[in-house]
Amino acid sequence: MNINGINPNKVSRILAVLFVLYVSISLLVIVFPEIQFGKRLTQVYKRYVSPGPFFTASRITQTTLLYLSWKVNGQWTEPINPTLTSYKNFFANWNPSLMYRSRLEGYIYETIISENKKQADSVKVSGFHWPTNYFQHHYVPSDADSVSIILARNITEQFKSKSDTIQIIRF
Amino acid sequence: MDQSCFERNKFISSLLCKSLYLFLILKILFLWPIITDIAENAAPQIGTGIRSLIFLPLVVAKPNYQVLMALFLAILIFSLIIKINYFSGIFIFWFSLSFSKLIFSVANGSDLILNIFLFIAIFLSTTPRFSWGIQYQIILSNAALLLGQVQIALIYLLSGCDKLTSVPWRSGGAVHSITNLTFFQNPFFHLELSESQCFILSWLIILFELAFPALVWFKKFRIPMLVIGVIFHLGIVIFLGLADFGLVMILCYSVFLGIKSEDKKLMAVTV
Repeated sequence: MNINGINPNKVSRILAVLFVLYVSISLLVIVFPEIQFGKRLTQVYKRYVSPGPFFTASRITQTTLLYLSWKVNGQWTEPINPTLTSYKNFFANWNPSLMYRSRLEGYIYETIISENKKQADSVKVSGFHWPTNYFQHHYVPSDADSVSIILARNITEQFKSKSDTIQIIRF
Repeated sequence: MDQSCFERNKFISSLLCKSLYLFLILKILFLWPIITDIAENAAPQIGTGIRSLIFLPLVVAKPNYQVLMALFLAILIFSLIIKINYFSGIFIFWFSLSFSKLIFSVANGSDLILNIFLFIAIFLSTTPRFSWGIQYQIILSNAALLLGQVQIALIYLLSGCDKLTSVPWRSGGAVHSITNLTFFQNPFFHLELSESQCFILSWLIILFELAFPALVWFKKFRIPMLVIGVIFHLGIVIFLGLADFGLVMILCYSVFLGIKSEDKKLMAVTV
């Protein structure tokens, strides 16, 4: 039975052609990753139609760590790494909410680091944009006098590991 | 196309769709406790024009994102109960786009893959049936199933080729990085691998990702490839803590279930 004279076999053929076209473009993009079909179109294609590649070397060679401590009654507490704690607790409890919280916190401080990339050493609070509200609200007791935040980066490349301190903030 | 093939494809389509819906339900529930923090610290920027149309549920719900999540949850639960159909498929894909935008700060590749397959899922359905076009619906459904299979193959091929051209992956350094970086290791299952072990594991991963798209089409290799893939992704869940990524990939494997060599072509229905 045809609709408006369109044979189902013709529809199959059209779909097959579109299919081959899609696979051909995908293979082209895979073999020649620098290829561009217009900047915006390529971006959309690579992000939404052909996701990946996953676990690229550039994304798995470093992680950023945040150490938080505060001063109460003149004494500094032992630094804690709340993001890592959430991550580890996820494995202990297999509660994905902890996994997501860990990712959110990682996003918060990674975003701020990238925005403040120019500041390489210790910085004064006035020159630094920091979402103190989140970490203070969740982890720092209300009676704390001062807060210290240390951002460090662990880099593991070619079987060698090293740590760098990116920023130290006290307020 | 014979009836058994049609029924098998219907079953696979339903299995894929409903497993993805269930995954989304769980995702919403586990994100619920932190959605306020996400909204306050990583609010999505939507823009104007066509983007505001694409992400309309997000625009309308702002800033009460729990409303969006509750509505999405209700649609998903309802869709779990009823037959898969075009309307719920379209709604779920549309809402999922907004949901992914909302949670972009905690999203990863699994969200991209999930949305691709939710889009494909729209066409997997043959409900409601149009008496004037059922054979076209079946053709489209078969094509969507094949597209899902090819999409998985391309994902592995892309990742495999990237790793093959990457010095850290070829040398095993990438595996060493993964096993030594803090946010990529399960503290209860930490592996200490030597350089040679990293090298071997690295090449096993590369070979799997390159072999899968080539071999999964052949009956003899299909089940072994799928089994290896499931183990591979369970490893990602257990050792790396990327639960969402590992699970989505395993769920998407359902597109390969029951595939037979005669299904590889797009077939028209004879009335």
